[in-house]
Amino acid sequence: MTTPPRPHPFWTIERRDAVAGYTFIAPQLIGTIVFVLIPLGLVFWYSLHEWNVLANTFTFKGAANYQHLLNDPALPQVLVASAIFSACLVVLNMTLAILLAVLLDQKLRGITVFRTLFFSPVVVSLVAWTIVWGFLLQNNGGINGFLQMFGITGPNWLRNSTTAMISVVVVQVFKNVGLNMILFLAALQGVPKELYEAARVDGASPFKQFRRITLPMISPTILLTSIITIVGSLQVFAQIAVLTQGGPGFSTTVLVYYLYQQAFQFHFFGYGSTLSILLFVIVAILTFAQWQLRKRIVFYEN
Amino acid sequence: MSKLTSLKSAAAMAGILVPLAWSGTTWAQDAINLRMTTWSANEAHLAMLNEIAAGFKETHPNVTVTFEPLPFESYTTTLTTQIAGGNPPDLAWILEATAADFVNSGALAPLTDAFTKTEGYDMADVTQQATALWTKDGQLYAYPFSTSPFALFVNNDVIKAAGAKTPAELIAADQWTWDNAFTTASTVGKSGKTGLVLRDFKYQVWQNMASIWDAWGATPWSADGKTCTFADPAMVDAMTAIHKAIFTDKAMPGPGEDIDFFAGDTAMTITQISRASLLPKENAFDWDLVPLPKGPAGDYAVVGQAGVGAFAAGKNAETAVAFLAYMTNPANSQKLAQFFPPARASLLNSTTLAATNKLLSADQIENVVIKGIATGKVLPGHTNFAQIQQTVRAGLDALWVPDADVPAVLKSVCDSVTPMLAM
Amino acid sequence: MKTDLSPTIKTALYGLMCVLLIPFVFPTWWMITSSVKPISDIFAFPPDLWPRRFDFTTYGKVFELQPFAQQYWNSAYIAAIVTVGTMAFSSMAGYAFARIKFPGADFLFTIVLLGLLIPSEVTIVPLFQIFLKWGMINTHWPLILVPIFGAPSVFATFVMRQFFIALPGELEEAARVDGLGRFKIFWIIALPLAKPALGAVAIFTFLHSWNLYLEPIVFISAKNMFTLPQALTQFTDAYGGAMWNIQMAAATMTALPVLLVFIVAQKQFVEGLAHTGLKG
Repeated sequence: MTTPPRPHPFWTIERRDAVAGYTFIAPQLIGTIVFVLIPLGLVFWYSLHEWNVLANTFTFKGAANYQHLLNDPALPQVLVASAIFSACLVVLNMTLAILLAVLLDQKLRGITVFRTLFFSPVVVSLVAWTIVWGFLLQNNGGINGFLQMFGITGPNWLRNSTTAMISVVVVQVFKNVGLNMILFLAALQGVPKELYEAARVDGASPFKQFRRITLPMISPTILLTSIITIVGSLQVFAQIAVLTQGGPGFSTTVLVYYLYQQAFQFHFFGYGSTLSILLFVIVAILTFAQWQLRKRIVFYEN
Repeated sequence: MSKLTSLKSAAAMAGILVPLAWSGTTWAQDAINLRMTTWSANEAHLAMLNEIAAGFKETHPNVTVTFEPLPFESYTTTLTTQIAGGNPPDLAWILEATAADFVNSGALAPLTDAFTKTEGYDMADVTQQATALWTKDGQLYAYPFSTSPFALFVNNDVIKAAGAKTPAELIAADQWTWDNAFTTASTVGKSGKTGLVLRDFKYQVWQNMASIWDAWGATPWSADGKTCTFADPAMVDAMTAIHKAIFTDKAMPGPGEDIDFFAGDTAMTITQISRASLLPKENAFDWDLVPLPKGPAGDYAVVGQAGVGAFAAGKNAETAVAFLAYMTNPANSQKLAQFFPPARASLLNSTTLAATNKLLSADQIENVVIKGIATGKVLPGHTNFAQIQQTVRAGLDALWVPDADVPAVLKSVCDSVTPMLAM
Repeated sequence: MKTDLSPTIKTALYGLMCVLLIPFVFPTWWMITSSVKPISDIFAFPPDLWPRRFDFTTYGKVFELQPFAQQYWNSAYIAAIVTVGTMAFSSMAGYAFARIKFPGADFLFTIVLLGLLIPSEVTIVPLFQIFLKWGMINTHWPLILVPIFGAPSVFATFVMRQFFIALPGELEEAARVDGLGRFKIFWIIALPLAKPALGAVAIFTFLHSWNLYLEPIVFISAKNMFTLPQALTQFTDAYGGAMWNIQMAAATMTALPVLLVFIVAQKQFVEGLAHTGLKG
């Protein structure tokens, strides 16, 4: 090896970039380690134990909780309920958000008022929201009263497995669709107008314009919101707890509600932690899959 | 080991008694702050509790008690997180449904010895009926500061408008039975108003049905808690009667129909007497409060309870127990009785209770409150109740349809709950 | 899509929006009207669209029963710090992950993304243990630190990264040729361009902090330290029953200012976001 003929500066562009990069991400990375990774590691540690909080017993059990996970008779129903809940919620949320965004993108007088009103559930107290929907969904409640005017006898919404699931999904969608709606609204306004002009000259119908121009152009936003919504859907349970308590039967007991019950209501902290790890793995796989799909679905990613 | 334990408890006793004897001399330097979690954030409650804490400070100048109201819905969650996280309160209110969990877990400090040795406490005055749920192996682990009987609130206006017999008339004729109560409710129900509402039941909180099925002598499980008795004849009869009242006779609103008695369009409701505060002040209706009707098993009464305990692991556990002894002594029990029906026999008289329950007549206090507390059976409870509650709730969901096979559903409830009872 | 519409279509659109609005607006309406009803009228069935009787004393009682002004201040200042802090650190991290090439960037991004995937119920107990060790129980620190640095901020970092990826790079390249350092490029060039994405992050972060429920209840126990969602649970009568009318008055006061801010900010926010586009 011969020494290089001229002195090489220590601070190359790459090195400077590396230092800048690490500095820029440092707060976030340290935060993630302290407030996410370490707690997650602790949860995994708990999941190897039988922990009765009240009795203050913390006994190492190895994989016993994971064995119990495989043998838990309630778990298959819970996973099916979670899958149905999340799938319905994501589809309905995204469809409604896009529909509302298209509506609210029109040049109409007073559109600001409408935007605000559609957004309002996002800031309304969850307690008020759940109470009112609890009323509306009763057998003798507002929705069935409304249907009665058209001679329709509505179902007993919260007491039938199918309609109870529909109800908890819809209540959740109405509460939060405003956030996605705003993101889509912004995406729609970012679509260059010239594209539509050109399409109109070519005689494309509004529906065709929507399919061929709008949807591809907003596809990045669709990916982003669908990830947030799917992840969010797996973490919802406050309204389920109030509206159905997971019933009838176990039909609306989603995974996060089940783990909440095991850990905080039944005091099986070890098993609750095991379910937490399961939930985490499921969410991670789903997110990874969506992230991989982005190259096929999303119109432009650098 | 046993020597050590007895030494420890002797030391613990000394810890309680010493400050009583030489208050504030040797202990003044060690400031002690006790935390008590409650699920009431009510101003009047907290004012009363703070007054009691101030009274304790007179003899224990170094001790400050703070009360931490937690929201009722997330009470157990928050308490559990604090305990799991290593920061339990020194004292906590305990819900009846979690009583067995707390009492059996060993998390709470035993109280009986400390209470008995506290001067003027008069432990014998606290009724055994009331302490049963909170006692294990003869030791009291939490004090039942609230023992509230279930009773029937009546709206006579609604009943008369439907042309049915009011409970008062039935009682006068000595015909106050569940059959007749259901008939009245059914007449009202068929007239378009609501018959009988079991408050807070909502076809989910099934343990509240004990206020009806006790009339049949039915129980969810055997006295030792090991055997499921949901499928026993008494329970099948009781549930058949309830099912018929709901689906055939329209005496009770069906599942998914949540109706508030105090809004005024309902004939009767079963709830705890403390709910009298909800009676409307304007546009009041002609209301009455009557004991629960007789059933096939005769007279009965049911109470709901709340307890308060001290955590054994806290470093100030002795002081916490001493405060509990002070908080529930005869004088302070009378203060508590303003809001929470007391478990002390000496306070169960119409003079004391009338002063604090101004809405109720002397008759109502005698027949409903005093009799209820003195003879009332506590709502069902069990170790690991939350899980059992959910399992039974899910099983009973099959019962709440018009053509349910009552014995078959109850048998399946037993099948799913039996493994949990044995644990 | 955006042409002047014929009157018939306009009318149809208004009609459609009004019908769609019902499920969105009714609960809000119920909350507001319930706040001025006597408590016995609230659960009248069917619910009254317009109060039969009015009782405006509820709003005064909110302030009598709780140090509500103090609690309002707590929520406001916590949300403000969290919003500003999240905007600062997430835009830095997002910029670095999108624009700067450094070893392990992809791996570290995946690590950070984990935070997005964890429900707060899962980590609340270990977090409680950590904050207990740090002596921060019954302080506002957990409500500030966790959202800024922990799981909730990951969403913000994600949004910022996606934004910076889509941002054209010519300006930055020009600046680099001129010898500007990374931080200056970020501060002078990239960040001003990122205003719309920062706007989105600000709204989401503020709302998240404003509505946080479980964490305050677990971490805070003194009344004057409470945040608003926690304070809402505290209006109960002598028997533990909720004083619904007073609670709804407090809930209304909690929601309305946020809605007002939204009305003022939404146009700028939506259009700003659209200008450069939030590309996934």
